[in-house]
Amino acid sequence: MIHCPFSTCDLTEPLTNSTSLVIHLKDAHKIVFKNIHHMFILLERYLNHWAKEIEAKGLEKVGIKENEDDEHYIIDPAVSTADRTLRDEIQREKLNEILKVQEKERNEDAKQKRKCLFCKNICENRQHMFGEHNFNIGLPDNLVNVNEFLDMLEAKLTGLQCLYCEKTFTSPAVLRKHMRKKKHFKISARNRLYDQFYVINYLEPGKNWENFEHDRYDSDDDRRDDSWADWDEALEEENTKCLFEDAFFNTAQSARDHMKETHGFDLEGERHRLGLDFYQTITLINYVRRQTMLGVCFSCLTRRPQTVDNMEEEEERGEWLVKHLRESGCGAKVPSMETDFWKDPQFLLPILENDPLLMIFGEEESDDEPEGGIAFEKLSLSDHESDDEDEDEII
Amino acid sequence: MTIIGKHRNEQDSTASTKGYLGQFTGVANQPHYMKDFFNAGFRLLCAGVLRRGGFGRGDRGRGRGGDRGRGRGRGRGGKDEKETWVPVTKLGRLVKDSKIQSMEQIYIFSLPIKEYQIVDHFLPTLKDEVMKIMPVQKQTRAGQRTRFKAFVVIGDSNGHVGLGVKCSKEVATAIRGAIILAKLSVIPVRRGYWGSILNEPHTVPCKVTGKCGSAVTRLVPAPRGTGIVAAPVPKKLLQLAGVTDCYTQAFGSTRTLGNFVKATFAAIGNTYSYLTPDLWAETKFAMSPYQQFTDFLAKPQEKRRV
Repeated sequence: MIHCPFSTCDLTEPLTNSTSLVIHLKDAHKIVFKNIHHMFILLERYLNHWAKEIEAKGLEKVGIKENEDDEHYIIDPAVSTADRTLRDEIQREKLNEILKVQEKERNEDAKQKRKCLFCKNICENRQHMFGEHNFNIGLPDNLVNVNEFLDMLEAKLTGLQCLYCEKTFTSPAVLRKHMRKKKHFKISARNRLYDQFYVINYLEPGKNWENFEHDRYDSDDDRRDDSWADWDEALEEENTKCLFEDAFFNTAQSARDHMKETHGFDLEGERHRLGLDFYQTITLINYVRRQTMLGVCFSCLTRRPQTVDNMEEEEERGEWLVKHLRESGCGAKVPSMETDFWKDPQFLLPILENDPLLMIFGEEESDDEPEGGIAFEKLSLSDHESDDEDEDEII
Repeated sequence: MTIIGKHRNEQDSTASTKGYLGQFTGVANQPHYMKDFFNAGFRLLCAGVLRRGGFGRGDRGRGRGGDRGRGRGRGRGGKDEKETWVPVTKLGRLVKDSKIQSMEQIYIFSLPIKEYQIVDHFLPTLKDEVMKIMPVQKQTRAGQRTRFKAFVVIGDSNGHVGLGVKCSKEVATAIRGAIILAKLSVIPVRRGYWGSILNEPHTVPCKVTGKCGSAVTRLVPAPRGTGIVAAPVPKKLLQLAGVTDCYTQAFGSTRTLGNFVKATFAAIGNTYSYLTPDLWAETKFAMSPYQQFTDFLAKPQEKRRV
């Protein structure tokens, strides 16, 4: 079910199946895509992209004529690298999206209750269907959009169609009898419509699970591949809040730099100057956060004036502190070591949960390790696999 | 029922249908539909032995479950109970026979664990969590080959954690393989107190560091009520380890989350490497289980009945 992607096209109704789509593209737009069935799951994205390209550059630049007499232009991944890279890209994007959906499903949706397809029970998971009715659609980890899938199957059943042989019956009782007798408690393997629910079909364009089944299985290859270094994702934003105002930063480093420039509060500098150890630094940071929350300057302890307090705007209140720091230069004046708060244990508990600012200092603190060389070997768990990385590997 | 030997010599109208089964179960004497039942039973038994997923009810399924993920057997929770474990390593045999009482005995002697059922036996409450599934590609002569890689962390929130990673064509297979590897890598976690020694230990006993690649993680003891001050991923690891309160620090490239997690794991593991004063007492060395139970191990195992 797809609309023609070209905006200049006259066809307003959607094309219901692949053959009509191919015919339409050939007749109306004079394009033939080679191996378009490879991209069936990703068809819309693929075609939209090409439509844009063609409208921008014109068909002659993009396609290749098979021979001079032929009216049609051919876009072939074997020949055009642009096409191939496009397909790879789209497919990789889609794969990542699918994996994210699956992750969400694994964490949340899997616990939802659902009415069994075959009897009246409401079961917590598919174990019931497997156990009682021997109905197997595959391991849950291989599926995506499970609710949609089950909805589809349910619709088929209410439409009195057998799931496996797809024959229609006259009444639910007849259908049930048929399925029980013939043991059609499974789904038709050849039905392409189900492909979109299995993650394995998104792996490589053009290959669906049937190809993979016949693929030689090289599980001994895996020894090289089990390296943790592949996981090359950055830590999700360590949303760090500035100590004095409501500004958020992507990394703790940038927050630290910001405070140094804008407010004159140099965390590293103060640590060195006062010789603060780990726990004292923690205390200091938490103390400053607390004071800011109360609207008090941590250094000179002046309260935010009443007039400012009455204002509803959070920003107005916050700005007072920034202004004050700028004028008085309190950012650089850390209270002396005799002040009470240094010994107050409540400041060892973080004020903000998962405060990234508490996680970045102290690198130079010597690891309190005994002098023996043996201890050092135990410390590092270097990634042995990365030492002799296979040069062919592309991640 | 008839006795085997006797059966052979008997003149039987259904002699031709005896077949292999006839010798054992006296099938030939049964009415024909019962014979089918026994035949099916034999096939079922074979199916079980080959571990192709239990009772196929005749159809070995080109259904959607098919080969994929050996789904048929796994999916059927209940009917096909886990096959009893037959250990293949010495340690496995000792564990199966309850000659070893806890994981800690294995850890004291640093015996390598090669069968995940050993870990299951001592730590039935292990909970696993999939941290990430990502597609990885490898360039082969025949083009690119993409597979799924699963990163799993496992722990019982009471002093044991493990990490596993596995690559496979299918997501389910990768996850299952990763869980098994995680179980094999389970490590004990030492916890201690921050201030007063009351109740249960809740934090790391001392400052520990772990390094992997260029990522360095440092764990620092924290007072009760602090919670785990860490990025989400190592936080999960620490929670599954059973550490309640802890400060963490991360240096180096935290871009590579994989190395970051491994560094945290190394740091947790180092809690038992660190020699604190309360461990200064001289250890009384005991015999390794292999030595202690040589007699038992020398006996051949009972052959698995087919």
